[in-house]
Amino acid sequence: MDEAILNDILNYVDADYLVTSLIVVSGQRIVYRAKGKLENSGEYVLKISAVHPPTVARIQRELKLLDEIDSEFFPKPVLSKFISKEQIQYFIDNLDPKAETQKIEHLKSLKLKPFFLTVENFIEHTKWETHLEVFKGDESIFLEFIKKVFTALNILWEKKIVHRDLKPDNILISANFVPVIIDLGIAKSMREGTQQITHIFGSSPCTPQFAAPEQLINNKAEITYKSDQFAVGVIAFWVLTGEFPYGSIAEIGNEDFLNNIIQGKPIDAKTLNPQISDNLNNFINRLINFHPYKRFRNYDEIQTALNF
Amino acid sequence: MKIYQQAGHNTNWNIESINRDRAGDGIIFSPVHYKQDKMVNVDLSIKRTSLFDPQFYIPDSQKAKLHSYDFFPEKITEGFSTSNYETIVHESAEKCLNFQIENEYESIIIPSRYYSDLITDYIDKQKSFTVEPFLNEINNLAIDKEIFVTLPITTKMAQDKNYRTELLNWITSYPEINGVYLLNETNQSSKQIRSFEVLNSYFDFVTDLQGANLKVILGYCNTEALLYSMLMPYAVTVGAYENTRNFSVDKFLEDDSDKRGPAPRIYMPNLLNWIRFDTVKEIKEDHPELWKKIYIPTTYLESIFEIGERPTFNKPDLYKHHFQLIADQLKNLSTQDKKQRIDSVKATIGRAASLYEEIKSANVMFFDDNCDGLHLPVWNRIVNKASS
Repeated sequence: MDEAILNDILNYVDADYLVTSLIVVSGQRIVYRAKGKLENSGEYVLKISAVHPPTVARIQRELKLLDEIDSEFFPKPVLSKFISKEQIQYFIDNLDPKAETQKIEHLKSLKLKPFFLTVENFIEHTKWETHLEVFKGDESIFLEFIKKVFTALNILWEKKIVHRDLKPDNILISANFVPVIIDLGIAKSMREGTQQITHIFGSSPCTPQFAAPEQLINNKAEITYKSDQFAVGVIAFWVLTGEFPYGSIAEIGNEDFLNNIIQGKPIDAKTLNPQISDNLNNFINRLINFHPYKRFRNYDEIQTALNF
Repeated sequence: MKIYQQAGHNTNWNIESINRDRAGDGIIFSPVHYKQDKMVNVDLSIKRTSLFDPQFYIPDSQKAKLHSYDFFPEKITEGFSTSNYETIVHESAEKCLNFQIENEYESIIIPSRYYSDLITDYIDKQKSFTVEPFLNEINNLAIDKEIFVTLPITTKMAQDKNYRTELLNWITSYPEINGVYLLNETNQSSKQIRSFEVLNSYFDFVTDLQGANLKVILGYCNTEALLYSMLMPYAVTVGAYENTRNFSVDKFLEDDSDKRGPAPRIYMPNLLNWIRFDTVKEIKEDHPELWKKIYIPTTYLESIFEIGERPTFNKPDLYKHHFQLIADQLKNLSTQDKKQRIDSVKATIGRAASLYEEIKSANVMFFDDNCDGLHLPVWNRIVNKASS
């Protein structure tokens, strides 16, 4: 669906947003940048997703979660709407059959399907690559940033939620190095008795390069907030060395990567960047430990460990 | 390091020992031995420094005293089965937690179930049986006391590398708990632990728990509590009868009919062992110089000697003597740092070994090898390992 058609549909359903550009097409989801129709009403991220029950359930859960969280570390949802088959049909029916014949034919040929629409505040951010030198050059700035990342994660952990897909793409860096965590679509509840929504592409959704061993081997019982710690450890390692602690999947392939992880012997970050302080190196090593029980047991321990 | 008395039969001995002799910091109460009405009437000053172990190890136990607690699984379900308990576990948890709060115990103990085998779903079962429902209720009730989860393991579990890792990964995944109430069923045939592997695997397990910043209460300790002190644990226990010094679920299964007891034994701290009364009497009467080296007097043992008769195994003085002396040993260690504790325990083992040599040189024969110092070489190896 092109942006003009989407804007027409948004207008028809009284959604006060105008799509301005495409950001990314990701799996079942298309993400656009948008602005409010009213003057100075700011910028937004507008996402449309195919109506596939597990996908919608995941999105609805993400929205519910984001709605509960009132924090600068997470985006704020402002609208969610199910655009049904009937609404699309009525939208076409309401076009002028004489003046807009071609458009009607075009829309019919597109065979538009129902979709789920979500809108959240656009987070002004800069790419990680632009900050790598600062992070590497001034450990205190990086430490403050990591502390904020854990403060943000603790908001999820206190709700018994594990993000499960932390990676640089899912941690936006906004002004003053404030991290904003996005894409809670595959977050898992650790609450007693909670049913997990199975992801359509696999039983343990994650981004393997940043995923904890227990996620890679799909040991569901051991996927906890400690799996998020592992991912942050990998991110920190990458920021400070440009490498990954158990190797790069792109370079060595899945099999060797998995073998490295199972052997549980990460590369020593200091061999790649001797400037890293021993304290920070030890901290990262604890985060990326193969065994969850050797990682940090709670947020307070993490904050204490970061105060060096 | 706290010292708790592990209560069993005759809980009043524990209470008296704490009140009169200050032998320990508090008591871990045992509902299988103490009915609810009695428990409620224990003085608050004792309860405030004590713990209540809800003892859900055998949830369908038929022991009458357990049934005096309305939250006990068999009682609350009127006939326990895993599925019917699941429907009522939150009510059971709420009642059990409220009982612990109302009685003002020092900390909260979350019960768990006992499994003898290395079952593959141990963790899932513990999670759903009590641990997560209790944590949920603790959150609902906004309880702000320290929380300890009961973890009953067997030596096989501690020795199996993968099983042990899974247990550690699980029990360290609750940020809201403060520690673990750890029970180790060692299934030893001897009265003191003589297996290096048993002690070593337990030491490793406790070290890993503490490495995850969990406080560890080492339940059901015998004399090896002195060894455990080298781990700098949060707490160790001392107990009267043997079934409070060696974890086993027999007491939740056996009937209450009179049983024959063991031969009376007396705790000899300088020998790091319990010695049969008959041997103690022999050394006292026939080898007074040796006796002076071995014996540390208490009013309790003196009163037994005054009576002059062989006491029965259930004579309270035997146990109050033990409480007083082992609590003194542990209290002394608790004031020391890790290195000092290792040095102290090593010296105590060395002294015990040489006293045993003297006993043998005096041609004193033991009635059974449990009185002998056969555990000391293994204990010495554990100390050497701890100091390396």
